[in-house]
Amino acid sequence: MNRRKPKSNNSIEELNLRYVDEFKAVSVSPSLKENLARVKELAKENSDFVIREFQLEDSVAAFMFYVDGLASGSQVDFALKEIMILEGGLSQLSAIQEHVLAVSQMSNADNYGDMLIGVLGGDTALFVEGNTKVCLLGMRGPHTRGVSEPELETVVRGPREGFIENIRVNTSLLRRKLKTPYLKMKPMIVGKQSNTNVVITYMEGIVDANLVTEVVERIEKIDIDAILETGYIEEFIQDHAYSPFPQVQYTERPDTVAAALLEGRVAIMVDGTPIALIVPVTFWSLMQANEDYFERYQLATLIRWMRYIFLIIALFGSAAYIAVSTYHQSLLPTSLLLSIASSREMVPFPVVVEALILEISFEALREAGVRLPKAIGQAVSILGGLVVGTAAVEAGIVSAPMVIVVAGAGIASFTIPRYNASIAVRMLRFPLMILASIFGIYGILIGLVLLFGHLVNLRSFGIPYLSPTNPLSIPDLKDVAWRAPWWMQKDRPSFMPLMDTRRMGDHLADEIAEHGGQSGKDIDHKQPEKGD
Amino acid sequence: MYKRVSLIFFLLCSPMLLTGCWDRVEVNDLAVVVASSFDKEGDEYRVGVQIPLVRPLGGKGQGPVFYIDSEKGKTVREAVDRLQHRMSRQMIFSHRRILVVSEEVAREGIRPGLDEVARLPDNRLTANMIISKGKAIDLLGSSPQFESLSAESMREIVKLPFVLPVNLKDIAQALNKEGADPIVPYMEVTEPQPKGEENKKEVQLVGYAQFKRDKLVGVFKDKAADGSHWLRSHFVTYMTTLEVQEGNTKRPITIRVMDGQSKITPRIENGILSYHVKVEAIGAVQESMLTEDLRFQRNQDVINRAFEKDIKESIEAFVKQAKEKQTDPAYLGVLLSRAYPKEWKENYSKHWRDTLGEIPFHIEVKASVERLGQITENITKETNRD
Repeated sequence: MNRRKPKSNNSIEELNLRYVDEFKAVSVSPSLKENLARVKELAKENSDFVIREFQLEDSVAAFMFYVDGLASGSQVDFALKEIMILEGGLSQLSAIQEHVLAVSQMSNADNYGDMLIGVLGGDTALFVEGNTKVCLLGMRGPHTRGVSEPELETVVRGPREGFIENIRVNTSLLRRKLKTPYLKMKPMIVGKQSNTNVVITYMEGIVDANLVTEVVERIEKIDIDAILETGYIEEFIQDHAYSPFPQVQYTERPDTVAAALLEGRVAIMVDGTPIALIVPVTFWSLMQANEDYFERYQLATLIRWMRYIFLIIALFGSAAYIAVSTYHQSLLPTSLLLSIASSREMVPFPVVVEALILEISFEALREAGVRLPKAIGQAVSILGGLVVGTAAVEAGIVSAPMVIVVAGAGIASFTIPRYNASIAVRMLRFPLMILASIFGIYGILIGLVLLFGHLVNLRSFGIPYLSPTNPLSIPDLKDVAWRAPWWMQKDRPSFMPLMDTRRMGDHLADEIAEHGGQSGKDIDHKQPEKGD
Repeated sequence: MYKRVSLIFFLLCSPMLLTGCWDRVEVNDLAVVVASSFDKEGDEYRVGVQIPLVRPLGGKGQGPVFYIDSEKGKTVREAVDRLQHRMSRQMIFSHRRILVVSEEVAREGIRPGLDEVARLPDNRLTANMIISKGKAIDLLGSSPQFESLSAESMREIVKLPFVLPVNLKDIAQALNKEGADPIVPYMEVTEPQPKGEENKKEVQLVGYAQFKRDKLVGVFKDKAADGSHWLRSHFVTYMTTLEVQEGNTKRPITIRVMDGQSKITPRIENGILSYHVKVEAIGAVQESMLTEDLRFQRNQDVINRAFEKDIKESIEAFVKQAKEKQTDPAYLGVLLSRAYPKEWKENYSKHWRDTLGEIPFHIEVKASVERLGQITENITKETNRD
């Protein structure tokens, strides 16, 4: 990267630099004229670059350089005023910084690379004649939008705030959840052209330090022009690139990230997207919604079991229908077999073709619903429900039981709380359907064996994907087989390598476990007798 | 090494060829046989099948809901094969729940017909066999009102709570054991009273066919059929009507046997085999035409005695009929072989049927009517008019 020797008198064009990173080789010249020429060269054909030349009191030349829209105009004006009314003698940048500028965030850069990263991130650069440093004033502009309720993960009970596109707001949202200096936020810059700010955040004292190093190293290796979304990073850092299963969890909820950090995981936040990544992830954690932990545990447990059942339906529902209705008619109750037969009487296609037609049109409807504007989306659902659901059955193109099975499997796939996990399930049911149509239930079993073989092989940042069930860790089943009440979850998951495994103190948890709750019998509820 | 791996791979892949899309049959290419019948015609069997007709959903027009056809053959499968030649859809027998065998066939033996049932995997041993009075195919052809298929109707009847549960597996087991004979539900076609629409005929349970080995020798009806409930492994409820002497007249009272326990113990004392049957029964009054108030213990005692006598009589009737024909529907031989395996092997198993007729039975019944119903006396009793 730093192959080129710093050649201060060359112009930028001659240096032939392509990435901002390479500008680090160009140091700030003591001559303001030279600096100005370079900055002007950078600002060529850039309408949003602002260069403001001015002079300090004793005719020391200086200029400010910022990007319009990123820096806050009014703050820049205010700082400019402070410098311009400077009472002479202070031509040293350090002196200006110390005595004049009423700006809280300030840093120095001695090369063009750091300067550009700052300026393009919203800072204002202050060049003063005779200094080999440039002052970066952190007067960043207004945020893009306010914090709003996340649309992807809605809850009945729980916080309504979600991440936004500004990483600084996102880190502050997280910091509000965990007010401790041990919540660490490690900054990184990824993407040669985008120079995207990436923050790796974790709880020091809980997280395994090796995991943090591993995450940092994997991200450092990424050599790409731009990171426009977390998906770019996800595909680079996951353990098994060809697997359909997500090995990274994503969320737009600060509370989900905070909970993950407290379990000793690491979150990766990326500027410009409201999505944060969480690693490592297990298959079962993709079956958990954040609201499970906010609602009463009995309800959460029931919902979780329901999700497991629906997972099976989503994966095997259509395949099982195909297998049973074309190979194993003996398995059905007679009356059901007859009613399937009577509804299929007019259908010209074999069951598998019928199933594929419906599944594909269902996926098409879903995709159309996501991409279209909300107002038109409703029309799609009406059309889909009417045309595919009713008309196709009446026209005898598909049979009613098939519609029920496909719709049931479709709805079942939506009960999986993580969208990326439900995509994996939806994709995998197509090969299973093909297998079922060729080999019957035997084919489904082959598919199941292959699927399990793949799942037990998967790892996410070294953690087996199916933990805690494979390898079995019985104490950790409290958060998989059911959602244990909080006072039973004294320990953090033991399949994660952690520095601190205790989540809570023993005293209250034991008391609740022993008495079935905190007893209120010591409280005297009697009203004090009124004296006449 | 490479050879071995490829061999293992080949072996692992070869079961894939056991099944495949060539086995695929769409639901609409199937003729689902729900019941079949066996009749005798000359030297050959006449096999009838009942197949529900599948019509498109929402299709208009009322037609027959099922279809019955029959064909002759030296074996059951030959007849079925001949039938298949006139059917555009492939018959499957895995949904056959009812096999109706005519009395005529049963008298000659059901063993040949049962071979077909167990040989093919798509037959279910949980299916029910029914012996028909008269032609078996007439039972299939009956048109019961409640169910659209007569097969379904027969199945529901044999599954009623007061019918002894007997399926093909039980029959096969009884046939395989020395010292056990099957009993099979016995049904007939009857017309509802008064006659409703034309050709509407119902099937009805008459009793249980009595078998000697695989040959039908008689039918347990009425009292004997009730008695059969006590000598099977599980008690099945039934209803009985007693006549109780009250003054000069006999008045009827109907009792449901709610719960019962029977213990049959074979005993060999001084080389003489006898069976001790100990029965405990709990009854519930369903209807009483007695004038006495049932609340009083002495009235209850009278009923209890009559109830006990009734049970005893029914068991005796059953045992008597079984002995007469030298049959063993109560699995007496099996019980003996369990209690006295050595004696069974040496003395009894060889000529069990000859001994059967002479075995004395000691029947001890303890019965009580515990549920009297919401009222204990007739609400329209004459004394109420005061």
